[in-house]
Amino acid sequence: MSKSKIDYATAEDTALVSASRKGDTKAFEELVARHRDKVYARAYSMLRNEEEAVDLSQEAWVKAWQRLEQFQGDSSFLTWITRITINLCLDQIRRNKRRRTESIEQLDEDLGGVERQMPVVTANPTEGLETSELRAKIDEALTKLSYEHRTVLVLHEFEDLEYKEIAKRMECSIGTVMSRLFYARRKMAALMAAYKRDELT
Amino acid sequence: MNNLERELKLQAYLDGELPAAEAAEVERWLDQDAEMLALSTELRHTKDAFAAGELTVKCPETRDFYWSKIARSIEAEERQAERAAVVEVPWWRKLLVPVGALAAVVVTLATLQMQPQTGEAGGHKKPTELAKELNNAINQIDSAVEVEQKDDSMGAITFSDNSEGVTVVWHYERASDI
Repeated sequence: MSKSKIDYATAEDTALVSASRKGDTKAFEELVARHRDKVYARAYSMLRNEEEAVDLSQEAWVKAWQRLEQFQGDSSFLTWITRITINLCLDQIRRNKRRRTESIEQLDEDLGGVERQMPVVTANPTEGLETSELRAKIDEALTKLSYEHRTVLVLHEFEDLEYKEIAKRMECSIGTVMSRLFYARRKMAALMAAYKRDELT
Repeated sequence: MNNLERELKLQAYLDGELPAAEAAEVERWLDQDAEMLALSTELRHTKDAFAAGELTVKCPETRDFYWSKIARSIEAEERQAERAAVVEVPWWRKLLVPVGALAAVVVTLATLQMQPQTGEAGGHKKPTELAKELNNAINQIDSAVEVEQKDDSMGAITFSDNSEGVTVVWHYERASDI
């Protein structure tokens, strides 16, 4: 394998990608070291399982190595590897879902189940929280959502994907994305309000 | 339009995914419908909460340990790719060598049966004559069935004895030689 004469620690991502394309695994190792926490965090936010998230994020890096030629540089390298991770997570979620056989539960989720009955929360349950506190509360609430509701929120709120793009990735209709997002938000509001009530009592 | 459709439209409005023409309709609802306004407030609060960003999560494995598995997988994938790159010999080509050899023997035997007995000692041929005929027969087959050996997976060892006029060609698969 040919080695590029670059200073790995200070090189830009684009230089490391170019070197990696030439077979320089040291350059690729540097990319992994730089972005592994974020790639792992995305996998964890979707799967909520530490072991699965580690395995899947590593698989994403291997896929990235194999597809380096496809990286056009239209987005940042981190965005690109995160997209690969999201796709692998969605595949994993689909596999897990097939094992769970939850057709009735699924239908209930898409149609809003209990979320339809929830009263509207008009008082802001997150008012006055510090950013770190707020992030922790959101993370806690996300853990209590179903895979579908959590995924749609992560893709929309953290990855800034539009309805159309989410529908494509989740292999469902835009209408399903909209209803899942709606009920996921409603459930989040209820959970946040419950945390607030618990704190006050 | 049922209630859910109105609610989803409101959400699309808040997400900036509603065409301008329909946005005016939602704004009218918000002016006239207290329930829609309350729902809009709840959705906005949730949306704003997410704007705070994600909880920072760190990979639980050390850099070296995390990388080692990736490196091993990359090496394994590359080895596999290299193996796949070697052109596989089609099944019919694998059969050409044994079938050709068998055909050579059959043709030789048939030729010997059909030819008049001209040798000494009661019509028996000398070994050298038999070897020459066998060689000629093989040459005929070689010219009739030309086996083109392009890949490196097959090898050949040739043994020639000029005094006896015999040439033996042994074909083998290199992989089986390892």
